[in-house]
Amino acid sequence: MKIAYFTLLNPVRSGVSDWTEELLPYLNKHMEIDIYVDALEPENQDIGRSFAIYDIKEYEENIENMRYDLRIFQAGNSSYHNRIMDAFMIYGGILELHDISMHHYWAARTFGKGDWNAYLRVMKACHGIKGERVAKAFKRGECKAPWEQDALTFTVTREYIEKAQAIIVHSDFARQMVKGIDPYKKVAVIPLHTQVLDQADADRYRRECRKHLGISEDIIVFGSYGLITPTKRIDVILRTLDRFRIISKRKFHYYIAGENHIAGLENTIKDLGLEECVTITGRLSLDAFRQYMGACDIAFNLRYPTQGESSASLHRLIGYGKVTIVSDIGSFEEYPNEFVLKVRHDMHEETDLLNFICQLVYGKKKLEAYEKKAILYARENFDITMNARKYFDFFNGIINDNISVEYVEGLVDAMDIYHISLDRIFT
Amino acid sequence: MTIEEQLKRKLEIRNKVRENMGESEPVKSEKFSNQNIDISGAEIHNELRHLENHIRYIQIHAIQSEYWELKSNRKIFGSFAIFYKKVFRKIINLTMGWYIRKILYQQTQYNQGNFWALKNVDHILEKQELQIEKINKKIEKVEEIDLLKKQIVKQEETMRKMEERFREELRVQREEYTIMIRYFDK
Repeated sequence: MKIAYFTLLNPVRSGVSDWTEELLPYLNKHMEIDIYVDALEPENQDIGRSFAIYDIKEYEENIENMRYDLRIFQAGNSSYHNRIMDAFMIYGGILELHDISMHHYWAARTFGKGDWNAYLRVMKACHGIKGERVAKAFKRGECKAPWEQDALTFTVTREYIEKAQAIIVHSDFARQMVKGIDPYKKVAVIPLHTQVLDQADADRYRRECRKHLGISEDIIVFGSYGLITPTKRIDVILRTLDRFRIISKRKFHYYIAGENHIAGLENTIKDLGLEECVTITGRLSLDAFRQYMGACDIAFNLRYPTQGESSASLHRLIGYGKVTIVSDIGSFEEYPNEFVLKVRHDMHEETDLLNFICQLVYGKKKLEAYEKKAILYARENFDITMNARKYFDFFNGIINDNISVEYVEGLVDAMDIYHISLDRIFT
Repeated sequence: MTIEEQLKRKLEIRNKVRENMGESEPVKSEKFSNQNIDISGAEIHNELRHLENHIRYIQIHAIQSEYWELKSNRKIFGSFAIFYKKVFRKIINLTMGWYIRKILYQQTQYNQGNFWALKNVDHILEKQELQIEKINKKIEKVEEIDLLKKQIVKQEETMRKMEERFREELRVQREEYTIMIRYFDK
């Protein structure tokens, strides 16, 4: 099998670049891959040596000679993907959607460049009169930017989904969103891969990371990871930790590990008097980032509002056996409650968060049991070798027109297409 | 999650997406649109003034007579033409007068009947115009009352939501208090 793989690679600083560089060597065991990128020379030497890398514009010349079986396009919600998506609209192929909402991407590409009519066109094409009305209301200043406020309502992906030969997503939530647009579309769910530790390694790794970072063993370490934006609810976490400090004498430290994009975050920490207990690390190398993850006891991965994305950080945390507290929304609903604890994203958010923190801090045994289950789950679902095989099977299924569908998914497809109500199935 | 719950969740997500795809909305039919019969008060008033003018014209021209002033624009032959017309009219009057006068009398009666009928219509319309004005004023008042009622309902709804929110916040506070007591200084 020979495929043309349109993607981002480092030095483009995107999660998709890191993720692709990890996956490609495993995919290469099953298929021959040519990589098409946006002009820049790849930073990763191993990738450069192992694959033929072309500029996207060279694809036109290569079509005849290379005889690819499939084209794979990596779609993300940022302007880095402009040329990949342009090529996709010309040639078509399998689309891997890393975010189910592409509203930020479209807004930056149209409205962000002053092309209001293009924004209106795409909103109308994807969301009809409703989309047109919202776009016009936004222009008149009657509502907030739809990509900030309603990104999951107005995903602006319809044109891409309709054009795609098949779609790959990373969560069942995203699959149902795609099927909502086109119930006949072939969709595969392949979770984001991650490194998975053994239970014994997890304990050892935690101690090593703490030693390396100079963190004492007797304090509780909390952490938030990745790009720090307002959607990660850092203010809510800080207020909750402030309350936790009032009721508990246990020492703790909260690491905000990643590049900070929240204006005035330092002042919020100062106002709450949490300077001693909170550290903002800033942008970290991948190794340092992993160490901060490894050192933590309880991780936060709150997200509201969401773009319907799956979180690579969350998968990495689960792979390290960390108990993580997330928002009960979108794809996060799908993880087991045993080690991914879900807080409501309404007025209960802080109370739920405080409750979970207290439960975990004062129930050490429970925390260890959670960690074991997390590692087991990651081993079963996020293993990179297994995932590469899933990609291969799906590609084979597309080529041979023989896709296998799980029982529940087949049932829901039939119910959806033939308008069969739940009552008729369960009475 | 049971299979039933899974199916329900999946179908809900799909249906929600379809709601937001915004299919085209039905266009209002022109045939049944109120716009076609919606005439403003000023327009009605204008139409009534036209009607009055027509009635006045009918009134002036209602009485028909067999005599009218005979004239000619020709300088030399004018007096001959007038003389000829007078003679001819006299002959017709003597020979056919009994017939023509009867027709003119009937036409005059019809014209006068028409005039009074239209005068009546004009009176009725004027009265209706006054009534419409009164009704419009009443409608305006009813609309004002309706608007006030809507505002009251809206305010009641806001108050109800606020009350619910306060109760919910109170519950949250109690819950938080319970957590803090449970774990305080443990």
